[in-house]
Amino acid sequence: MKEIISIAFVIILITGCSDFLDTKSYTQKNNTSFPKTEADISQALSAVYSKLYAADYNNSLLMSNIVSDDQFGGGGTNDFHAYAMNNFVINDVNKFIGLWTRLYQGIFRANYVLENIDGVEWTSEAVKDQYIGEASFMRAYYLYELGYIFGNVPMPISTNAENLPQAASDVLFGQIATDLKQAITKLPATPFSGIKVSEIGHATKWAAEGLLARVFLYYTGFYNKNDIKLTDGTSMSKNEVIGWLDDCIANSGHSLVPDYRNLWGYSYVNTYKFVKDNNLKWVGDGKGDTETLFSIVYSPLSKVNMMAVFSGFRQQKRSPFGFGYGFGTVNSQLYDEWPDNDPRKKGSICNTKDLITEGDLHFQPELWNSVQVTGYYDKKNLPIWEWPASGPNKDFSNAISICVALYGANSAQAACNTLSTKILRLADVLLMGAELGSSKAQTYLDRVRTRVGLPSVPVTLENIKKERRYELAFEGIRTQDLQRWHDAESAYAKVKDVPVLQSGVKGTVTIKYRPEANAFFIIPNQEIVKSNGVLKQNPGWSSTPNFVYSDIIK
Amino acid sequence: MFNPNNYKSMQKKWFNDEGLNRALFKWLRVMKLTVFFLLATLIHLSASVYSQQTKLSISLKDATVRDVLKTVENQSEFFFLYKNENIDVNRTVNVDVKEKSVEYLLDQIFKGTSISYEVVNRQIVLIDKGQGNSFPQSQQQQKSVKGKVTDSSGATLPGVSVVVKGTTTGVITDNNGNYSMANIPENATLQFSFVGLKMQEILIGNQTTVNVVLDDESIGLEEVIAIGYGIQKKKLVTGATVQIKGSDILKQNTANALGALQSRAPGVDITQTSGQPGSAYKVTIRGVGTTGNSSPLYVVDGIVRGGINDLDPSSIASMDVLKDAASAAIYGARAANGVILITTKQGLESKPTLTYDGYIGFSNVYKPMKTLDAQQYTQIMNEAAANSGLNPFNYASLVPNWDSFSNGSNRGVDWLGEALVHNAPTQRHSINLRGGSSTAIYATGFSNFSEEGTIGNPVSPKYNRSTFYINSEVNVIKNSQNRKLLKIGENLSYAYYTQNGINVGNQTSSNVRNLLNENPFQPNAKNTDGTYITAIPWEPSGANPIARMILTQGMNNNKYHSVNGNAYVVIEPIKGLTLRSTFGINVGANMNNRFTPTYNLGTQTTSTLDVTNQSMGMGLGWSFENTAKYDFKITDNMFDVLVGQSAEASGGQLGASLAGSNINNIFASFNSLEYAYLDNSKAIDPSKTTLSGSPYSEIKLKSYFARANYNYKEKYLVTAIFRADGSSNFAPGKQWGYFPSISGGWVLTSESFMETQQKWLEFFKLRVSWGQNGNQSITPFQYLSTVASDADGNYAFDRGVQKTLSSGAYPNILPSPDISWETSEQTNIGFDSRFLRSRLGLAFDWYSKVTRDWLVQTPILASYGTGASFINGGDVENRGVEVALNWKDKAGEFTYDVNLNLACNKNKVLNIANSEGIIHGAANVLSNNTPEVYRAQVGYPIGYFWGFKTTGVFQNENDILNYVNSKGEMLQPTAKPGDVKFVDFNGDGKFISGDEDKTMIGNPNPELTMGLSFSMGYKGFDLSMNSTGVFGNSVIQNFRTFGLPQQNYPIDILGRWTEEGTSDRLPRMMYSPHPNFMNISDLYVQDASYLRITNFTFGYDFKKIWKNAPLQQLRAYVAVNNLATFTKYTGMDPNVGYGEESWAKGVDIGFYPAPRTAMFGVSIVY
Repeated sequence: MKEIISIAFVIILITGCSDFLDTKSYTQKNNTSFPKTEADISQALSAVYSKLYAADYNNSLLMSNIVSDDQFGGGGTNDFHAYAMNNFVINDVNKFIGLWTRLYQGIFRANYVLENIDGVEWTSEAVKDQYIGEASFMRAYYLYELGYIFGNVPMPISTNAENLPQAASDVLFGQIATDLKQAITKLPATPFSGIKVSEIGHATKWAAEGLLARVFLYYTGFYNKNDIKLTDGTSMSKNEVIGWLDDCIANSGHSLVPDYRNLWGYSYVNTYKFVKDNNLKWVGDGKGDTETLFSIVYSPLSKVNMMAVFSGFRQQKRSPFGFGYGFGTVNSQLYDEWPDNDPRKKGSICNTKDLITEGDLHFQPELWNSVQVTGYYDKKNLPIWEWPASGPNKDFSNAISICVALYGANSAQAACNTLSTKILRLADVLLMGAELGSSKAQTYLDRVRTRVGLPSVPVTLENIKKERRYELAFEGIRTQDLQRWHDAESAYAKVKDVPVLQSGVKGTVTIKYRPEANAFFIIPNQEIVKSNGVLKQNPGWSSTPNFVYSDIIK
Repeated sequence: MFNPNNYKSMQKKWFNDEGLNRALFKWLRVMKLTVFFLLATLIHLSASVYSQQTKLSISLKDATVRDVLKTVENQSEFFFLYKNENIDVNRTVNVDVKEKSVEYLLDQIFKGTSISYEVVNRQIVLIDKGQGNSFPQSQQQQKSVKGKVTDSSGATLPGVSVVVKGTTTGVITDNNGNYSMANIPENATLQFSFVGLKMQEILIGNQTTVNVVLDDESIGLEEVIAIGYGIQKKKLVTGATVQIKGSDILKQNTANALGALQSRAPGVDITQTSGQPGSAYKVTIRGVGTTGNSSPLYVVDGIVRGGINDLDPSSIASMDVLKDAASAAIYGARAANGVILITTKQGLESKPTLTYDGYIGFSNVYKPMKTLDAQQYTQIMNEAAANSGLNPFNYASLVPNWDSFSNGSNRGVDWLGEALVHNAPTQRHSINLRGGSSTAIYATGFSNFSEEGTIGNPVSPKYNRSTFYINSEVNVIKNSQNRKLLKIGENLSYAYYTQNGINVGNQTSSNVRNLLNENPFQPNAKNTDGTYITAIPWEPSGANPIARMILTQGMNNNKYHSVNGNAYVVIEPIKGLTLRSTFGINVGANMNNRFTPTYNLGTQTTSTLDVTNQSMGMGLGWSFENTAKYDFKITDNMFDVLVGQSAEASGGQLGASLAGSNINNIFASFNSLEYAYLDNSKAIDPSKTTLSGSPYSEIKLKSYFARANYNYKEKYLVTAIFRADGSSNFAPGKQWGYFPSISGGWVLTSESFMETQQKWLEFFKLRVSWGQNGNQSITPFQYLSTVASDADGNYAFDRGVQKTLSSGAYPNILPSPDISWETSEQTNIGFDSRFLRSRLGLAFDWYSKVTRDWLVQTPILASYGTGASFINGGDVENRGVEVALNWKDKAGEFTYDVNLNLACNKNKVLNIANSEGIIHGAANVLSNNTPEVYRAQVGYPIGYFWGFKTTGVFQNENDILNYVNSKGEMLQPTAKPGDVKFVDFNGDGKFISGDEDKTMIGNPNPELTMGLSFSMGYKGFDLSMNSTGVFGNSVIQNFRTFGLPQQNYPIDILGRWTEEGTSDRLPRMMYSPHPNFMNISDLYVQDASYLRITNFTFGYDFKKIWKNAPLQQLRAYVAVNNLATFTKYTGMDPNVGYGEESWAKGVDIGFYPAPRTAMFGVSIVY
């Protein structure tokens, strides 16, 4: 018996220690150990920005372009989403879950920064303000994207997991405007010349001023309001917004680059006849682009700019324009009505006919399974490729993305574009200033037109609308503009029987706009279901119009 | 007359009382000693005149004769035979001998009695001369008898004791199993006995040669099975378990023992995720119980392991599958999916037995898929283009050497055909040595197995595995009564295996799929500079699939080492109480290299950089277990009580992996895997060099458990088990789970009222069990909000240089503080029975298993902005019945047995904790841009196929007009003749290509599985056949990428609709995408029921004709695995285990088929 007792004792001794089951992760911090320092908050803020990176269809710029009257879905014969989206129908009730998720992740992470900012020792109040300002800006940015794409959305402003009902538009835009005002207040008034190249990509006071104007115009236009009610109960008036825009234009240090075309990547390719003939020189990422206030910045180390890959022609591995999936083909009506004397026309649209003589084209729409082919492509977003030093090999393409030479991107991937995506340019700020009715409205409009050698026109809404369509073509702005001007129905009605090639077969595109859907997209059905009825589907999408291939591909 | 039941071997009785049949089941006691030492000891012990050499030292006061005899048995290899009624073994005696022979001792204790003895080698027969001889020999006619004793496999048996029943006369068979006896009465009966085999009695009559085949006792009721932390007589088992002998596994010649399980174990469903050599098996016991980890727990020699890929089948003594919750409950927290206990071969107290098993074989794909040749393909493409309204293709400008295709002289490339490896070699060699003495026993073995894949020429996949094991046990201390007070032993195995292969993964990367869908115009040839010809203009996004296989996937090599072992101490301080302490380790290490050269095979298959990948990892897990077992008896009430404790840990600081990849290997021009080391590409490029290193997840488990087995006269049986497990995967306070079970049995045939039925019903036991098990396998730290610092949080602020990245960090899951065990609760009712003199066995089980609170990563609202953690979120029910029938008999020298088992299981999801009640499967599984094709949904079986139902093809315009809803409206107004008729499933009067009309179109879970095996033996010949049947399961199949219309088709497409009456299943061809093909419908689903002859073996033991060979067995055989598969399924193999989630299967997107293998082998026993 003594033996048994002693053995039992030994057993208990060895394994009885109560902390045996305690384990820890050696590679992940957790909510008990993070964030503790300023550096931790800095990492948390990077993670907010990282949600700007989109892949696939969760790219709001791509979506906005495709649904606009200026572009079609395009893509391959099985890319139904694209041409379904373009026709305001859907092939998958959860198609936009990726976008929805990404934006809410961004908001969650911004909330996380804002919630934890007081729990950390700061070296100075200014540094702390910088973080508050940037996080507020980013939360506003993501909320705004949700606001114009999905309209009726839940608005989490804390990291608590709550099944929130949809916020009223007044509440949503009140929060966005409050956040942006916070950003304007907290962020330093450092002029562009004082910002290091290595810091480009961070939100600035100027970007906040510009974005606030975009938000204000959208909200007051689309919802027919005069001002925005902020969360503290005060109102934000048009004049306040004009004041910030004037401040931005006067004090930001941003200026228009002299040649509009130098903003876009193709101007880098000096073997491209169009570039040679026009003496273009790309101002590129950090190479003299004084115009861009806010952009999504990529690197070979980060996720790549999928926008370019989606936009490229199918099976094209040439210079200056490389391989892609053929989305967002440009409506030939835009090309036709755009005056030739505007250098922005050929600076924005790639006419494949010109490419045969000016660059290189290797394009057989009947074989490459392309649909909604118009022959016109969005030059601002096409992937930019160059021939290697050894020159073109016409037997089989061996061109590579300019990002390989510029940044060391991995050419092994088709998706190696890391050129940044412009979100807000000074030209837009100027046109918004003109539209809002700044005292300098005429000057602002003239500056935009003068840059491209066009004469002054009176600062009427009609002229501003036209100017915005051309100046900001394919930059994801058009759809918001049409909605806030309430021009969508009439604009889409014009897109009728546009000739296209469908897998090489002649066909036409007609956009059937559904005003009942108010241009808001379908909220991912799985979210509606998961919310247990707390979320309501957007008008026009509750009985889902399904995509019918034969209705669209004619 | 003589009653054999009274004529007992004490030794035998002792085994049974202890529940540890020592001689047969020594493998549960092992020790470590060098083989050399053991051999030396054994050679000594097997010297011929045992009784003269064995010296005994015994000192006992007031001991019974029985105790003295038992002490002799314990100290030596002697065993006593006597009739209870003749010998008074309860008489007390005093014994004090030192280093004396057994004869001296026996003379002492029987001095003055009428008892005499006779020593026949190790066997000592006691007779009471006073009682006279039961068989007065003088009155009988005397004769001589000789013969040979073999076991059921035909191997000769040395050392069998042959005794004239009721007498002391007896002999032992020699090394060749032969015996001869003289002066035997004609009416005598010979008794043949050998430990572990069934005793046989034969009346001599006028025979002069009596050859005997001794059957394994395992077919009888004395069979002992493993039950976890111990063994139990099968007769007394109250749960649902099934045992497969190592010899049955070995005979099937599969690479992995699991491959041999399917036809033998009802209720165990085994599919392969791929037929590529070295691929894993998907094992589900009694249906899929969870969307999480549904594989059973593997316990090898008492130690839990992740799997048994590194065990050679030749080293396995037996596999026991614990199917019901009551049996598995002793493994509590990890037993929800059943338990597979593997016992490796252990030593025996016998002379060394050396065996060699080996074969060489040749494998082939038994049903290669045929795709369209160039001419058929052209026809299909033209037809598709015409139907889609396209202009005819200008082939001449797109297809090099078009003339040769158009004039029919070139049939194009049959890509799969070119990639087949014909007669891919496979071989196995295994050598096993077993033996031991009363001091120590050992078993050791070495094996090598290699297999080459049947698809992948010229980079044929290869798998090569070498294993070594040693199991031994030493009796260190014996007490004065010769009871073993202290035993020390170990089981240790090492495996080294290498594996390289082609990609058999998803639809975007599967090499087999590429082979099936590449167009036949593409030349399989190289340019003059040695590079492969890139994709021709006809299909520029294609790529030579063989070149792709070689260049993008083919250069890889994976090496693995694993060491598994345990060392243990067994102490028996008082009789019946066994204390056991075991320390075990699992060590795994891997080394992987990959080289990807530059290539330019097509627009989508191009790389200008060579990439070198290298990775290594090493992990350790340990476990420490202590059990105390006490067997006791109160009158006729037998108790066997076990309590135990264990602690386990793995991961964390115990193991880590490292990996790196880089570009520009200095040996890149060699295009060789040999130089795939990171040292050869040292220049760091932040965008292309990757480095990673992390510890394996830290998991700890602490457990307490207890089991009580009770029986009353082996008639009424009760077992109760309780286990408490603490797991580090859960939050403090939620770590402990408690798993009870209870089971009972009633042996009806032991009841007196059943005695009259003995003639036909020898044994009948009713079993009922209930229990709960757990599943704790989730990613750790789900109870905390962990902060990830990965690529999803990084941002590139530096716009000028683009060479730095700001690293980000974010909370990546919502904490789930309440997360705890998934619990499976199962009730089992069954019976075991034997009829007609045990020739017929029938076992039946009914079960109902409900797995509750699955650990699922159930989707949360995306608007929460971060990842879902695991929650306890679903219930599933599996109900089924299992029947096992066997018949075993012999007629003269002809022996045969037939086994049939049937199992049917019905799987149904009861609850999923989200409002839609669905866990969605992955999208893009069948092709790109396809929605989910399988899902787990309340009310349906797990992983069922989801899509549209169809009802034929529109033959003409009238069909379209007549395909209307109840209101007379056309359902598919835009259809054309040749289009598919889709079913308006929801009955809303319209067919919509949305989710509304989708439903269940197939179920990958079989309704019925069957195993049928047959074996027979005749005069050294043996023949056996194993087959597996799986019925009522479907497979969803697609090899083409939608949107790439130039991809090739399997030849089935020739049966498409072309005009009225040509097909009512396959629609007309279309070049552009069309709902006919784009809508995932039952057109993609096929019935994959099959019946497969998994193994056929024919052998002969040459020992029969070469009688003087110094061997016990010299058997040669031919065998074929996967001899024939009867199925309607059109793919290469209906047994498709592939699915992207662990709970999904039956998805054939280019499945690598299991081969047919012909083998020639020998088994030699010395």
